[in-house]
Formats: sequence, C-alpha cells, structure tokens
Amino acid sequence: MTSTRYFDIAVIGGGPAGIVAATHAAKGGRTVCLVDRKKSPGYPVRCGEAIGLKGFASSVSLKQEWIRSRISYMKLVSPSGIAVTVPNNYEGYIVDREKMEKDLTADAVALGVEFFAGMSVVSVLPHTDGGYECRSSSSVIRAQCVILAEGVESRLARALGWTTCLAPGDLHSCAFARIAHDDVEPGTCVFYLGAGRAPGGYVWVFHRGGNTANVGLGVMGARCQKGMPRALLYSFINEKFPGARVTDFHCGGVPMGKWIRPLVKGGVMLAGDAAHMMNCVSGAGIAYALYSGRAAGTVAAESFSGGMCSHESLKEYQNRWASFYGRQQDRSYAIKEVMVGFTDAFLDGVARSVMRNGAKKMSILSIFVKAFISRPLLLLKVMRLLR
Amino acid sequence: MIDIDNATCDECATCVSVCPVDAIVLDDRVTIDNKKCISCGRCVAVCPVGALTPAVRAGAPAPMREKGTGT
Repeated sequence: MTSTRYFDIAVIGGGPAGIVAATHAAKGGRTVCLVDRKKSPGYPVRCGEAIGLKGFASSVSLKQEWIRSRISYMKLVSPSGIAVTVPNNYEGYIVDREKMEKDLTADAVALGVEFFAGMSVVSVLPHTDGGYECRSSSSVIRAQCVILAEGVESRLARALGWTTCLAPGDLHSCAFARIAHDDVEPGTCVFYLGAGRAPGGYVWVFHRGGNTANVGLGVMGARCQKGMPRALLYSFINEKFPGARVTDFHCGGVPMGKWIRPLVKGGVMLAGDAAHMMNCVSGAGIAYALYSGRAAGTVAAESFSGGMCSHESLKEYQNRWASFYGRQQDRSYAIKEVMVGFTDAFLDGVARSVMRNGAKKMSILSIFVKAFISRPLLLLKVMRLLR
Repeated sequence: MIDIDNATCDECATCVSVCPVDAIVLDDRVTIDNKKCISCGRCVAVCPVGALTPAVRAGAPAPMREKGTGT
C-alpha cells in the first residue's frame, strides 16, 4: 500500500545543501519535506570538514560547539619534501560535520520541515496534474517544486535530462580517515603534493583538535587505478604517522568539473555536489553547498504565488549562484587545468624559489607565468576556459 | 560486465557518478545492470577501494580499460 503526501517543495538529499534549502524554503512560508536515503543525518562523513569563516557568514550562523579546530596557517609540502608555510590571511575551521548536520536538521524540523530519513527516492518525474512525483519503494511524494541535492552521483537529475556523468579528468577519487597521533600539527592544514603521493591531486592533513586529524587524499580520476586512493592513504599514514590510531575510514568522489548548467529545468533545481559545485583547486565544497541550498530554497519559496509555483521565476536561482560563487568556481576550474600539468620537478622548483625569495615575493601570478613559459599551450587552454 | 564486492564497497557512489550509461545504482547497496554496461572500465579505475572488477565470462572478450581523458 503506497501513501501519497503533498508538499509545495520537496528536497531530496539531506546533506548541507539539502538541509539549508529545506530550511529556507520553510522560512519562506511553504510546506516542505526533506528526504534522505540514510537513516541518520550527517553520517558517514566523506569530507575533510574544512570551511572558511566567510563560508558560514553567507548562509548559516556558526555554532561554537561545531568547531573542532581553528586553522591559523597552511603548509604546502613539495614532492621532494620542501615545506612552504603560507602566510595566513585566512580564518578557517575544521568542523564536526555530523554534529552540524544533526543540529541543522533539527532546526529545519523545528521550522516545520517534514523529515523522511531512510527513504530512498528512486524516481522524480513530472506528473500529469502538474508538479512532480517522487517515488520510493514504499511511498509517493507530490510537490510543485523539487530541489535535488542528492550528492555527486546526481542520478535523479540524469533521468530528468541533465548530463551529470563526470569525465574521469573532472573527478577526484578520494579516501579519508581520522587519525590520532602525536605528530599532528595543531592549528594547521598541511597539503602534500606529488605524483607519487596522489596523482593529479594531493594529500591533506587537517588538525581536528587534540592530537587528531582528518587525513585524506584525492587522485584525479583519469590517473586513478583500481583501489589506488585507499592504498596510497594507508601508505601515507604509515610513513608520516607510524602507529597512528586510524578510525572512520571512508571514501568518496569529489566533482572537480564545471557546475552544471542550467541549474533549473521546469520545477526542478540542482544544489551542492549534485550540481557539481566545488572549488576545483581546494576541493572545498561545504560553503558552496550551504550557499546554493540557501539560494535554491529562498528562490523556490519566493516563486510561489497563491499555491502555484512559477517555474520561470525559479531561474533567478542560477543568476544568484553565478554571481556569488559560480564565477569563482569557473576561475578555479581554469587554474586546476593548469595545475594538473605541473610536474613534480616544477613543483619542487617553485618550492625552492619560495624558500630563497620568501613566500611574499612568490605570487600565484609568478608561479603561473613560470608555468606558461615552460608550457605555452597551457596559456591558450586557460584563455579558452576563462572566456 | 563488472562484478562488485559489496563487502568492500563503502557505498560512496563514485562509480555511479562516472558511469556513462547509467548502469550503476546505489540504493540499499550498489548494484550493476550488466545489460546496460558497456565495459568501459571507468568505474573500476575510480573506485577508491577497488571493489569493482571486470568480469571475465566464458567466451566473452576481455573488458578493455578506457584510455584516460585527462590532460
């Protein structure tokens, strides 16, 4: 026996983008449901949990109890082991994402959002009576507007005509773990570069309070081989943190491509990883997800008038995204396309120049000028990407 | 044709995100529709834990690993 429930707005996917979308849709006075495949929000965490202060300011008010560590500086380690400390002009945190998502979900529910946990939506299709029908094995949800925030696989969006399949060059295959070890540097995010450590990507170690850290790595999909991320992660931990206590091993795919266009089709909007929203240089996606969720939820609520949703006015969501983070992502994509061409020898050369001249004299621009001199075709490629 | 080892799989859906023919589904667990599968090998290469393996079936040609498309 299948039951049908009716809402103005249905949000599929209970990660940061979906929770915030549902919250803002409800704040706008609509009836909203939030559906998540998992039984418990926020678990498992497939993420380094790093976010800049600005990433919160625009979307969610940061709660002190989410903060596990304050990041006061970053360090880059070249393939041959030269460590360069990046002068800090950045305020960032490592947050407890599981706690954050549980709290945000509770806030959404308190605002009247109906939360369906452990419900796997298998199809979202237009309904003959208008609006959309979202089906799981046991129930049916009808809504005028649907926000898809289902994560990187973005499979429901495919059935609605979006091309969401990622090219192997536009994906990082990642492995993550939490470790406890006395060599973890407090207040730091450390990035290790080099084809031997993570082909086309990097390893990161983010201090997570006490002697614990989130350690992870991403390998560019086009350079990845079966099981490589997990094997490389464990060999990195054994090398740098021998005997570390390793907990919460998980893996995941990080979209490193362009954000999906259009973001709106009919009454359906894409948000967060499902829209491939990600800073393609840093791999940071939480701030993008929070902002896109807020923008999608707010615009969705504003598009209702007298119980009817104007699909035309939903398109405003894409304008807001494009002018806030969208352009930044486009730039990060162009930079990433250059960086994947950097050889280990080139990265070591840059690190040595920085050690000689000081980091302040070594601007990002001068690094890129060097890169373009050694590989002129890159310049053409980047100009095409930025156009 | 691809085989999946569900005991090794972490259900991260990285394979789903690269499948060009929508042959992989993550529901309660990951399943592969081998009728749709074109044996391109992308999912095998990107699975972070190596839970996917090209299936060798009697009489079938060996699956090919697709050439990388990255730069």
